[in-house]
Amino acid sequence: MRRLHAAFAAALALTACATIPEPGGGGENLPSAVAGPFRAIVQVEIGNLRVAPNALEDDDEFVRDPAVIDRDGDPSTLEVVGYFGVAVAQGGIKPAKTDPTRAIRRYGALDGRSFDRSAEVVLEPTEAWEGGVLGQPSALLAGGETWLYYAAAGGIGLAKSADGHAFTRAAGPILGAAMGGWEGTAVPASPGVVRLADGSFRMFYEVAITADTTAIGEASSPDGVTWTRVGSGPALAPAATRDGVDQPYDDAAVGSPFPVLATSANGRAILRVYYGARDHLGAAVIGLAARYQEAPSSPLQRAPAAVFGTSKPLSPREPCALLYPDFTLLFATQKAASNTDRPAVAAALAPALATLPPPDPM
Amino acid sequence: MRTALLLPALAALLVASIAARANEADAYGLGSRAAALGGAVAADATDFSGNYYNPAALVGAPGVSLSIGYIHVENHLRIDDRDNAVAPAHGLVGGLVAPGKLFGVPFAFGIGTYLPDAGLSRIKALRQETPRWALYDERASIVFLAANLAVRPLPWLDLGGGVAFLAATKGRFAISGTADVLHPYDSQLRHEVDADLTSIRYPLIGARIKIGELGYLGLVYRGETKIKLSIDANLLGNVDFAGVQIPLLYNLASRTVDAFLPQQVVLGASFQKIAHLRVNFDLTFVNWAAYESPTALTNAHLALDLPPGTTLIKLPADPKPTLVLAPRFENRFVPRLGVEYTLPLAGAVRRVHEEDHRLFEIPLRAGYVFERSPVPPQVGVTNFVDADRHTLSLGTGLVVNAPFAEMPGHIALDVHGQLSVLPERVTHKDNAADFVGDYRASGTMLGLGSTLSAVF
Repeated sequence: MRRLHAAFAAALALTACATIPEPGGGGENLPSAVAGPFRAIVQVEIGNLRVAPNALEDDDEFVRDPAVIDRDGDPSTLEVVGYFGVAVAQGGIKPAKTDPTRAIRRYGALDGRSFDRSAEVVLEPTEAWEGGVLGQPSALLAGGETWLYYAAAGGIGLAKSADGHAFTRAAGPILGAAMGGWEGTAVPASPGVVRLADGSFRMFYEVAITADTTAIGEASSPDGVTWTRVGSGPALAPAATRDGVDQPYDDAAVGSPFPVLATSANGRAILRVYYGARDHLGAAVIGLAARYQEAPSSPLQRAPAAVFGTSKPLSPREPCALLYPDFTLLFATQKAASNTDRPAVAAALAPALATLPPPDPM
Repeated sequence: MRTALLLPALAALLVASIAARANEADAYGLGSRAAALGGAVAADATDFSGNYYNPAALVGAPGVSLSIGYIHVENHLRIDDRDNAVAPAHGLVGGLVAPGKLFGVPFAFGIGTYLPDAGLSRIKALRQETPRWALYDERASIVFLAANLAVRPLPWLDLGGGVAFLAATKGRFAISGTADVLHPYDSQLRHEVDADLTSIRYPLIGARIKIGELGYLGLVYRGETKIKLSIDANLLGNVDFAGVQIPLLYNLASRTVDAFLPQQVVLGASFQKIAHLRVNFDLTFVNWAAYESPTALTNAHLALDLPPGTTLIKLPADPKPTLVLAPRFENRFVPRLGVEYTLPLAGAVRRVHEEDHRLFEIPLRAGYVFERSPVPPQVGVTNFVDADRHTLSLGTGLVVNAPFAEMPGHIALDVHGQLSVLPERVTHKDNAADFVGDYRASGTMLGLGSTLSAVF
C-alpha cells in the first residue's frame, strides 16, 4: 500500500510541472516563388533623397510608366537603367498632370531603385504615325543592344540603341490596329516584350474593347520586328464577375502588361505577366497571370490574389518587375499620395520579409 | 486494496481534466522500450506505455511500477534543401501502473504522460497558403495525459479503457469607453476579458487476447480529438479628438481548429513462444481523411461615424472572409515491426514475478515504421508540407532483477535512438502564378531517449 501511495505522489508531481512556452519554429526558409505579393518599400530602403515608396516623382513632367532593365544582364548586380514616359512642355506651357507623355527619359540607379536626380531624353515623337505622343515604354537587352518598344498614337513602335542613349527607330509602327477580329479597330497600346529561351519574342499589349474596358492581346515574333498576333481572342480578358468571398480583382479591366521569364524551384520555366487590373467597383491593383513554358500555348492563369495596391487606394498601373536571386522589385505608376492625382513611380518588394541591400547613394 | 486502487484512480481523473492534449506518443513514441520497438507494442505494452498503446495490456503488468524518462528529438525538415527550423521535441515521459485484484478479478490502473519541458502547449494559426510541416511542426509541444483501467475477466482476455483530455479555448475580450487622442491618459476605457478552458475528452479502448504459448493479439481504438480555439474581440467607444467625439465600433471574430489527432484502430500481434525473444507487428488504420483545416476563419468589421464633411479619413474595407479549402487528407495504414531479445548477462538466477532471471539482463531492441504521407499533392493554394516517413529505431538497456530484499521486482534503465528519414517529395503547382511555387520537401529526425523504471 505504501508503494502505491508513493508511486501516485510521484505521478502527481510529474503532472504539476509547467514552464513558459518557447516560440514555435518551422517558419524559416519557407519557399516562395518571389512573384508577389509586394509591399511598398519604406524610407530606409531608398536613397538619393527620394521619398518612399516613390522611386521617381516629378512635379514638372509627371514622370511615369517605368521600363527598367538590368544594365549588365547579371541579376547578382543591382545597377539598372530605367526608361520612363514624361509629359513635356508644349509651346512653353507646363504640362498638366493628365497630359499624355511626349518623350521618354532615361534614368540610372546604382542600387536598382534610387534613381538619378537628372535624366536625359532618349526619344521624342518625330514620325507622323506617332501623332506627337509616345510613352509606356518596354525595354530589353537583345544582341548587345537596348531595344525600346513604345506606344504612340498609331500603334507600337521600336527603337534600338547600341549604348542605351542614342536610339534609332525601326520603320513603324511594328504593330498597328488589327482592323478586325476581337480587337476591332482599336490601336494597341502599352506594350510589354520579353525574349523567350528559344530566341523568339513575345509581346503583350493593351487593347481598348470599350471606352471603359481593356483586355490584353499577345503577339509573337522571330526577330522582334515582325509581329504576328497569337490566337483569336485576348490572352487575358477581364475576369467574370462573381459574388461571394472570392470576388475577382480584375473583372472590369486588364491592361498595361509586363511579361518576364522566371524559373520555378524545380526548374520549370514560367512566363509571368504582371498587369494593371480594375474591378467593377473601380478599385485598381496590380495583378499577375502566368503559364508554364512547357505548355507555351496554354492560357494564362491568374494568381490567387492581387500582388500590389490593395493596402492603399493609389490606383497602380503600368507595372515593371525586376527579378533578383532572392527578391523581386516591382515598379508601377500610381498616385504620388492618397490626396493627389499626380502620378509617380512607386517601388515595391517581394517577398515582404526580404531585405534590400543598403541604398546607393544614401 | 479496493479503496487503495479507486482513490488514486479518481484523483488521477480529476488531475487529468485540467491537462491538455495528446500527440507526442503518436509521433515519437511513449517510453524508450516502446520507441525502440517502433511502437509495435499493441499486444505487448504491460508497462506505463500501455496507457497509450493498449490500455488492456496494463493488467499484464507484473507488479506496481513507476517510470520516468526523457526524450529529445531533433527535427531537420527542409524545403528546397533549406532547414525550416521546425522546433525540436523534448520532454519528460512517465507514468505508473498499479495492478491488483478486485473481487478476485485481475485489475490494473495506469497513468501515462508526456510533458514537454519547453511549454505546455503552442498554437499557431497560419494562412492556408503558408507552407508548414503540418504533422510535425506543432504536434510535439503539447501535453499528453491519459488515465486507464484494465481488467482480465477471463484468463485469456484483457480489456482496458480510459480517457485522455484536451483543453478547448473560448475567449472574448471587450473594450468600451472614450479614448482621448490629445490626452491619452485621460481616456476612460473599460476592459472585459472572458476566457474559458473547456476539457475535451476522447476515448482509448483496448483488448488483448492470449493465443496459447504463441503470444498475444491486441486490438486498440483511439478516438479523434482536436482543439477548437475561439476568440471574439469587441471595441466599442468614442474617440475624443479635441472635443469632437467620433463613435467607433470594431469587431473581430476568429475560429481555429488545431492539434487534430485522427481516430485510429490498431491490430497488433506479439510472438513470444521463444524464450527471451519477442517479435511484434502492428498495423494501424489512421483516419486522416477527417482532418480539418487549421486555417483561422476570421471576420473583422470597423465602423466609424465620422462628422459630416470629413473627407481626409477613408476607412479600409472589411477584409474578405477566408475561403477555407478542404485539406482532403487521405486515410493510411501504418505498419510497425519490433523485435526484442533479452540477453541474460550475469549474476545468480533468482525468481522474479514467477519467472527465473539472472541478476543482470540486457535487452536488445530494434524497430521499423513506415508512415505513408496522408497529405495529398499540394498542387493548389494550400501548402501542407509532408513526406513519407521511414523510422528505424534501436534500443538497449540494463535490467537488474531483485537487487535487494525490499525490491522483489526489477529496476530497468532503457535507452533508445530513433532515426526517421523523409525522402524527397516534389510539389509541382498547377498554377504558374502561385505565390509559393514549386518546392521539394525532405528531412530527417533524430531522437534519443531514456526511461528508468522500477517494478515492485
